[in-house]
Amino acid sequence: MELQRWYHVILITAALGLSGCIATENLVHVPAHHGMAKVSEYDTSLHQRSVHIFNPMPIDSRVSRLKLQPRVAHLVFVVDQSSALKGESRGLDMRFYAREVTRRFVKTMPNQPLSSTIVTYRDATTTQIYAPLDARLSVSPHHPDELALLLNNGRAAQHIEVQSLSLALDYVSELVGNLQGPSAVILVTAWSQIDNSVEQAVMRMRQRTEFGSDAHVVVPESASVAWPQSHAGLCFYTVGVGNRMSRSRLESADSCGFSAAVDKVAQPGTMANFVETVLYKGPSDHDNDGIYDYQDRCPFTPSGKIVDYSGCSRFPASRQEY
Amino acid sequence: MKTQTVIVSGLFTLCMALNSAQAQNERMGVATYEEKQRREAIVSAQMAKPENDNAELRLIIPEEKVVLDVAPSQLEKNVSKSLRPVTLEEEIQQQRVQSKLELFGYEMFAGIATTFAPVSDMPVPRDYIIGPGDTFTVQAFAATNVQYHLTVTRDGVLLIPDAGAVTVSGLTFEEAKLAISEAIETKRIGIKTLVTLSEFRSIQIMLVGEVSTPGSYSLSGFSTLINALVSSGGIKRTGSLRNIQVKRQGELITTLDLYELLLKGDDSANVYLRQGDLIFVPPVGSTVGVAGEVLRPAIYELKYEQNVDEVLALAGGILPTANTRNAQIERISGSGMYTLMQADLTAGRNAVSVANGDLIRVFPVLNKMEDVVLLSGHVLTPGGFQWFEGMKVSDLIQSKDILRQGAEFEAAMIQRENREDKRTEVIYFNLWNAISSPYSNDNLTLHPRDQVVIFDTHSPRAGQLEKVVTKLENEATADSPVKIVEFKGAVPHPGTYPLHTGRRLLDMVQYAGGLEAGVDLNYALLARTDLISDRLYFIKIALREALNGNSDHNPLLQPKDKIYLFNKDIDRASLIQTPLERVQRETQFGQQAPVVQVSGSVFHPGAYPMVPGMRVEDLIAAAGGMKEEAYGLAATLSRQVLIGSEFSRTDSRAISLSSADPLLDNPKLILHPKDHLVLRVKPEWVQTPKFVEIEGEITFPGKYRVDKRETLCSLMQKVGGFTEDAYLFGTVFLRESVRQKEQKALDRMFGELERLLADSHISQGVNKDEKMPKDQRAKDVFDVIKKMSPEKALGRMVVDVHSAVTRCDEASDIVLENGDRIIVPKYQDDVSVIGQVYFPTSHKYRSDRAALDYIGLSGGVKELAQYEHAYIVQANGEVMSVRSSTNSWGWFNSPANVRVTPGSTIFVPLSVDRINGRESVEKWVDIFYKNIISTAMLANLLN
Repeated sequence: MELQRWYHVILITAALGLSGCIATENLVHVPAHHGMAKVSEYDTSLHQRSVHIFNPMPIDSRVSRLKLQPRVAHLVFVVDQSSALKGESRGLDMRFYAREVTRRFVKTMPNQPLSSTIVTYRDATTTQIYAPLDARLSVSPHHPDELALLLNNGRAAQHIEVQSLSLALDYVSELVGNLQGPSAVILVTAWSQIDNSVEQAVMRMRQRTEFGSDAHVVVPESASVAWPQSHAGLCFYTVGVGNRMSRSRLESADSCGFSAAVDKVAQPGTMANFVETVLYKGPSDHDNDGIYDYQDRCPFTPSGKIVDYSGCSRFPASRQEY
Repeated sequence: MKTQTVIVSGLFTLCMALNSAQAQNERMGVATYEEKQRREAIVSAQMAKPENDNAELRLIIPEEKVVLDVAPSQLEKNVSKSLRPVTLEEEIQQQRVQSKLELFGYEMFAGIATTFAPVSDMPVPRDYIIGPGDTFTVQAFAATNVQYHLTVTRDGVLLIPDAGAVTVSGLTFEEAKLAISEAIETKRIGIKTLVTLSEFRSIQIMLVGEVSTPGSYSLSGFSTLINALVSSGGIKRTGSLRNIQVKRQGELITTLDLYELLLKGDDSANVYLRQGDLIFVPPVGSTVGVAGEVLRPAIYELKYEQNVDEVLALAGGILPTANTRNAQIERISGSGMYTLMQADLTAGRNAVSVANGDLIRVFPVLNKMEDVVLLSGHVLTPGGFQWFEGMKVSDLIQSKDILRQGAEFEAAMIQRENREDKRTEVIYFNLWNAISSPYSNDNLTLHPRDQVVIFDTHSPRAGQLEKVVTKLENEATADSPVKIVEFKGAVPHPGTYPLHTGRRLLDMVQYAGGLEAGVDLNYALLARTDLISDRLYFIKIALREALNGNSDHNPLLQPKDKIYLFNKDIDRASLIQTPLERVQRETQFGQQAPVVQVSGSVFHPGAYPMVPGMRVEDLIAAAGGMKEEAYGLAATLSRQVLIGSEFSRTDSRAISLSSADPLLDNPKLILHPKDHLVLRVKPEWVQTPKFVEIEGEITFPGKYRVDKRETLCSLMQKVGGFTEDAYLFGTVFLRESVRQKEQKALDRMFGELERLLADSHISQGVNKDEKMPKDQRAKDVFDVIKKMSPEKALGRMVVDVHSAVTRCDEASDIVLENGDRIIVPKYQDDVSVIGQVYFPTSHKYRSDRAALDYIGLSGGVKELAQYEHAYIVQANGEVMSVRSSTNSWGWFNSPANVRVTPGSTIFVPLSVDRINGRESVEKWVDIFYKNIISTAMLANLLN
């Protein structure tokens, strides 16, 4: 009974993880065991191998076909390369895996310039006396290829080396707080890194982009810079390297962004879905009839009309009446 | 049971009866099983009796005998079968042509008492033939005065005393009278005579053939043929009425045609019967059925009749309503099949000959109902009215006086028979307009055969419409779908309505009783069936838009449309469940079922059909809107996304309801099939306010509404503090949640106790040397515990009220819960001692006395008491045992003199050891004691 239940769990998990792959190899090796089963024992070899192969599913065609509307104006990756990511996950060095998932994201993005940057973070071995200059962090229009180049090793062009991840996020707050237009921040890190201080830092980042310049801000002593307010909006995503069953404390039901385990977004299909969710709102609908433009055969329906699924009036005036 | 006794003589008769019964069975090959049984029963009844009497047989004929013949004969069955409709036209005529034809004339035998009592009180007919057995009364008077009763001897003579024999047999009564008078008067001079016939002889006749009860009968001497037939039960339906033969000594005396009697009143063939006559009823001859517009539709037996005219004369002639030009004769042709012949009944042209088995149908005139309109429904004078060219509704309903109270003015219906395509169509109109303004469009021109139906405002219309709906359903074909629409939900008269072609939604709503108050103007559904693919789809209708003149929301209705209107009370989910399930069932691979769901703080959570272009805000509107407590900033939408088109995965996205966050999806988000919207409740929403009751020595006692985090201390500020008499230490604090917990524990204890008792029945006692029967012991304990156990828990919490209200800090303050009850008593300066003491009473509290002192003051403990188990219930609810007290300096295990507080109660329990030495039981008893006394205490206090 117990065994069967686990078996189902694994099948579902495997299906979710593999969902991007077209392969239908579903053979599951069920090892003999006594007592409670461990999830990792049921990993399929296919799943393990697939980490090493990535055949990107660029969403360019989908973006143009569905006429997807952009959600954000800026995209900032924060890739944790700190000592917390020591060790292996799924046969890969976790720091490498963090970079790899970022690279996969970039490879899936539509090939057009986007105001973006990649920031790497490493924990400082020595106490920093001076905070890095906030001017160091900036976004500029990059093609995906250019972004990919930024990540060749564990140290991107924009690199922060401070004591804690929360402090690093504060610097990112500086950046996105100054930007015009909404931004998406994707934090790639280990689940263990997300502690109270990181939570607080993300909350500060949200507040900085949420409130207008009239808001009164209590500046922590550690920050030596002013806290401008952008009122631009922020979507904060977390990609956790490690256990794929984990959820982050950064989940919020009423603000933009969510968290996902790296395995849940690393496959081509799931990555395409993730990229689309981060960058795009949904298909456009110009005549506002509730039917997306790409499905709309009557793209200029006047308002107030009842439409059918092809976006044309359900009761056209010219139609022969019964 | 009333039975008739028939005297039948001779064994021969029995044989006859038997034979004829058998013969009858054979003839009636198609007789039903019941009929057969009945016949067999009669035959066996006839068989059972004969040994009673050799010479005379008494047949008991039950009354059911008459019933036997009432059952339709095979002939009648055949005719009625052939009366079934042949053509469509005939079907219409069918109701006017009587469907059940009976054989003519046989009913004269039904219901006549089958008595054989001779008719003796009627005057003797002059032509009565005297025969042996007749008795004369002869009175001679004048010179002498004698009276004789003389019977005609077998030789036919009358032996008259003093006058000799006179031959009378063969004479008529009149002749016999003369002969007798003559004989006496000539023999004895001066004597005058008076001769009457006092008793008639009885004659034996034989009744055979198709009669109900054939056999030999004894009848009074001057019975006629018809008398004999009627009184013997008559002629069977298989017997001829027109050829009844009377045979006397092998010669045919007369032939009776009953039709002559029945139709013309001619009874010339009705002869007097004589001894030994034989009545023979042959089987029925040729018959012809006449149905329809004739005076007497029936099946007639033919004798001389040759043609239709003569047959119709038998049936009393045709009615004025008959269509003389078009009658039909249904005939069995030589090839063994039915044929139809047209017959013209116009005078002089009806010499068509008839044959056996013919059925003549005379139809009513076809255009009889042509120029008529029918008014029905809620009117005082329903029925047909004469139609004339150009007739309008206002001509039919000339004033409102003919409408009944409560008639519906907004909608009335005309059911019309379209003459072109022969289909029923329905037209609705506004009755008020039609009556009040003759030139309005609603004052429709009526067609012949229109049926105007007036509704009323209060009763359901389904009943009135049922017939026309069924008619429309029957007329539906593959290319012309059934023209009905259905209204469900918030309309005054939901149900199925015939569709008035070309009418829009709001018009039809009007006909269903109009828009109700409180109907949801933002959301209504039109479930439409695609007439080509027969797939169901939904159209969302905003009635508000429709009322504002947006024709899209007031569409032309199609056949088979279903309209769902909602209000705030109707359970929307269950109303649309059936069509939704159908839509889901019909969804194929590659499609997605157009169903979206909403749950949480909306008025009508559930599944709703997804209509094209539906947005989050539409779904909320469909669910009747958000409730008061709904969280207005954000909601969660779960969406099933397909990755690589085959792998499904559920994403959830935040919806910013207030549109404050531009990055989030807003209520304008276009829904996808299977989306599920969850609306949350405002944080810390108080659905049911919390109340705390405080009473007793309080400045302003009463019921107070408290906040979520209200404490005892803050409440005390509100209620104005304590009075001077308040005894804070004795405060009773009752809490519902504690009570429930206690109750649970109590119930559990009872359960365990019962188990314990059950165990004690099977296990050995601790003290094996005890002589008491085990069962007895256990029962005793249980009884004791039952007596002492409280019925229900109270839920008292021991709280330090003093420090709670004086210090008001986190450590000692108490957060109040809903339903808390605080009773602050007056200062009590007494200490009660109850239980196993000699004199249970209360004592004045004195600070220098302790528990054992009070027990001593009550006369000390009884012999059965358990001194060392005495309890003290302190005023604040704490229960202490004298044994458990720590400051015991006395002997080991000896009770300590515990200090008591004013208002406390000391309880000295009964020694359970005396009843049962079992320790486990003692343990339970212990718990119960504590419970009881605290309950007892409180009961005193609360009362």
